[in-house]
Amino acid sequence: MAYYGTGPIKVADGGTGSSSLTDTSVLVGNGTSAITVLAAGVDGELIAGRASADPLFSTIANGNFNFSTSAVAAAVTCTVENTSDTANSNAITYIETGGMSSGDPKNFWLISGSNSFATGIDNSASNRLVICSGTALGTTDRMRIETTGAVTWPANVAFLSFLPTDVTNVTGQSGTYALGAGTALTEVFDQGSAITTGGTFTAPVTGRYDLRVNFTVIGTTIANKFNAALVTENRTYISTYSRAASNANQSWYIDGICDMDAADIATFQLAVTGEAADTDDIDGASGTLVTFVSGTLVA
Amino acid sequence: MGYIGATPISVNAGGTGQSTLTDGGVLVGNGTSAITQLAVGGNGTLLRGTTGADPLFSQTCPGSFSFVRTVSGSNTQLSIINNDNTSVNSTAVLQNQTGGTSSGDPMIQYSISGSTIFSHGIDNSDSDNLKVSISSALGTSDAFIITTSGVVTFPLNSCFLAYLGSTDANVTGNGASYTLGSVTALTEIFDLHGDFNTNGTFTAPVTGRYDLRAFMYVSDTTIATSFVITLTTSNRSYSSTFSRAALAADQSCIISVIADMDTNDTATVAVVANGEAGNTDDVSGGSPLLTYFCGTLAA
Repeated sequence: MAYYGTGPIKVADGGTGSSSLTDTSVLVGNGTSAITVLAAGVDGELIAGRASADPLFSTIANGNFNFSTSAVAAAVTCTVENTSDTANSNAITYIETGGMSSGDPKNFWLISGSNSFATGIDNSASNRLVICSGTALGTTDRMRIETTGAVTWPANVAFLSFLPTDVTNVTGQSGTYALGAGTALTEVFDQGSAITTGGTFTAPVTGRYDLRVNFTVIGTTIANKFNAALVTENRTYISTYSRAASNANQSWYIDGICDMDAADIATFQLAVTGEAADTDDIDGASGTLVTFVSGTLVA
Repeated sequence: MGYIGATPISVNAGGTGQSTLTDGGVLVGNGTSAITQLAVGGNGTLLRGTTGADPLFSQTCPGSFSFVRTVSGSNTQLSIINNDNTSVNSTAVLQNQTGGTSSGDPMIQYSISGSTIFSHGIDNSDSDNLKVSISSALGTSDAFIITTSGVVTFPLNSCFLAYLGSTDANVTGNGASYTLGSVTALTEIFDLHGDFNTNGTFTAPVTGRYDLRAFMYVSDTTIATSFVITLTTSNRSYSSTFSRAALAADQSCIISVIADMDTNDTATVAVVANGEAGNTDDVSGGSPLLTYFCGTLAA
C-alpha cells in the first residue's frame, strides 16, 4: 500500500518534508520544516560544524581542533602529505597570526606533566624565530634567529671571566699559578653558570668546548720561560713561550677545542721559570683585561 | 494510528525509502531513491566530501584544510595528543610528507600576516638538508642548515674574516699605535652578515657573545722589545703583551676572546711596538695571511 497524500509527508508526521533528496548530500534536521539538504562536499572538504547554523563541507574550520586519544605503543599522527612527485609539490603545515599586534605563530612539543619546547616567531621581539623551553616564546629562549639571519644561543654555555687585581709572588721558579686561586675572578658573563670565580669550569654536558685563556705576567727579573696549561679531565694542553732572561712583562695564552664529558672540569694554569724564586706576579685589571679566560660549547 | 503499508514510504512521497536507519549512521540524499546511510564512522575519522560521490568517514582528506578564526587574546590551536603514559612508543606526531625525490618540500611555516615568515623543513632540491629559511621557500635566505650527515651551518650568521692585503710601513716601533685597517683598507674574505668594514671596524648586529681573534704580524724590526696587541670593544678592552730581547726579527701578536657585545657595539684591533728609536716597524700584509681579524657570533 502506497502513500497517496497531496505532498511529501511532513516532518511533524514522521516524513522528511521533501520529495527529492539531492544525491550525495548530507541531510540535516530543520525543526518541523523539511529536512535540510547540505551542498554536496567535494574532494578536500570536511564537514565543519557552525554555531547556530547548519554544518557545511569546507576547507576551513573556524576553531581549534584536537587529535587526541590514548594510543598504547603507537603514534597519534596528523599527516600533511602531497603524493605528487613533481617540483613545487610541497606539503606545508602553515601557522599564521593576524598581524604585527597579534600573538605568536608557533608549534610546541609537550610531554604531559614534564618538559616542553616551542618553536615560532616571537611577534613581540623583532619577529625573530625562537626555539624555547616551555610554551611561551621569549621567556626561556634557547635559540634565536633574527630576521637578518644572526643566530644566538642565549642559554648555551658561554663565559668570560677576568682577574681584577694583581696576584703577587705566585710563580717564577717552581710555582704554578692556577687562575682564580688567591684572588677570585670577576665574571663578565656566565651563560649556563659553568665557571666559578675560583677558576674551575665544569662541563654541563658532554661536548666539544672552545676554551681559551690569556695570562699576563709582571714583576719579572730574569724569567725566561712561560708554560700555559689548559687542564681537563680527559687531557692536558700545554703552550710554551721562551725568551732571553728579561724583566719585561709577558703575556702568554693557550686555547683549544676540548672534548669534555658531563661534569668534567677544566682549570687554567701558568708556570714561569727562570727566576731565583716565585717572585713573579699575575697582572689583573678591570679596565683593559690582561688576564682572562673565556669559552663556549661549540659542538 | 501508524503507517501500515507493505513498503517504506518512498522519498518522493516524503519518506526515507528505508525501513530502518542505522544507529549512528549519517544520512545522505540520493535523489528520489531511498536515502543512503553512510557506514558509521570509527574513532578518529572525520566526514569528508568526495567530488561526485557520497561523503565518507575517513582518516585522510585529499586536499588542504585550514583552521581559521579571528579571536582576540586567545589561540587558534591544532593539537595532536597521545594521552597514553605506559609506553615509550606512545608518540604524538605531526608529519609533513612529499611524494618523492622529484617533489617539493615538506615543511612548517610560521607567518605573521603582512610581516615576517619563516619556513622550516627539508629542502628536497638541496641534498635533503633540514633548513630554517627567512622566506616562504626553503633555499631562499637560509639561516640554519643541518645536512643529512649532521653538519650544521648558519649561512647568514655574523661571521667574518678580513686581512691586510699589503704591508703598512713605518707604523709603530716607538710607541705609536697602529689600528688595523686605518692605513690600508682590509680585504674581506667573507662577511656573512655584512657587519665588517674594511676600515677594520666590526659592528655587532645583535647583543650576544662574539668569538673574536686577531693576528698582527710586525716586521722590519731592529731592536724592538715589546709588542702589545689590544682588542677594543665598546664594553671593554683586551690586551696581550709579547716581550723579547732587542732583536731584528718578525713578531706575531695574537689576541683571542669570547667577548660580550651589545647591538651596534664595535670592535677594533691595534698593536703597539716599543724599543725602536722611531716608528720604523711595519705591519705585514699579503697572502699567505699574516695580519688578519676574524670573528663570529658564538652565543
